[in-house]
Amino acid sequence: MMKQYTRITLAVLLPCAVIAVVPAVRAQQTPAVTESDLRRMCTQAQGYLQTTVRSRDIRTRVDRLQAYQYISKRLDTFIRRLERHEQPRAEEMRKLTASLDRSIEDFKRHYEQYDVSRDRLAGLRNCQQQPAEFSKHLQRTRENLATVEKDTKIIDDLLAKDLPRELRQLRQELVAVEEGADDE
Amino acid sequence: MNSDQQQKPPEDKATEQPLEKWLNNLTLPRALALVIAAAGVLVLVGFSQYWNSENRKYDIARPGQATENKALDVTVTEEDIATPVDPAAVNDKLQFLEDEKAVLDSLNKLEVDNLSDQNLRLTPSQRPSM
Repeated sequence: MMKQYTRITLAVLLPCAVIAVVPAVRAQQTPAVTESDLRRMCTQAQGYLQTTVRSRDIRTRVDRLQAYQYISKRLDTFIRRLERHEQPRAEEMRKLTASLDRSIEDFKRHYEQYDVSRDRLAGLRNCQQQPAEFSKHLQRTRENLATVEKDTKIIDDLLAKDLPRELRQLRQELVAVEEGADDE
Repeated sequence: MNSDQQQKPPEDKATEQPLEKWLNNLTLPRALALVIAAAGVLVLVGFSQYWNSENRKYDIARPGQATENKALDVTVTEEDIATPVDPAAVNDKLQFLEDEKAVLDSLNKLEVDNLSDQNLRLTPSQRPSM
């Protein structure tokens, strides 16, 4: 009888303990930011934005943009060779690099929008007195940064997937042409 | 009396160090020229440090100013496009893309997580765990 009661008790209490503990544990892992947190911490966040985030963003933007533009110019030279000698896949490659150039322009434009909104957020006066305004600016800055992140993802996909796929097909066709010429 | 007081006794003049002598003979125009020359040297030293610095590339060009970034100095010559593309050239281009992608992956990312509540130190300090 006692063993049975023990089993029933455990069977009831254990799930209750899990249900009670898990939300508390999750709450500890991702604490929600309250208005009072914003009032207390917004100035510190602004300092961090103005110094660490800003300088890191500038470096990242310069390095990435330089790399993108360099890749684009080198690809352009390659495609001009294809076009000059009327070789296969020149048109497809040209379309891809045009897409790459458009994405690079989007990256530049959206980064500038993000840059402005980040600086506006960092320069917001008396954020302790206007946490709602701070929160609104923060949200807008995050949205702008998400757009920049999307642009870099598009460019990365072009460089890692679309262009190599096109180049491999070009290589196949060139090899086929060479083999056909050898047979003759 | 005053002129006697102002003139240095002969024995002091004899023991005067060359630098002290030179300083005593320094006129205002010479002193100004010296200061300007020293300032010029400092500017040159500072500018050469800046010019040779790796961080110079972080300068953002002003509108209308030609970029002098060597990485972007890709000029196409007739030689570059004179020969048709062959499979070896395609392999080179594939390798080029792979190398550049690796460089891009090593750079910092511009991602939303950079502005998370934790990264901006907006979250309250962690409460002690149960």
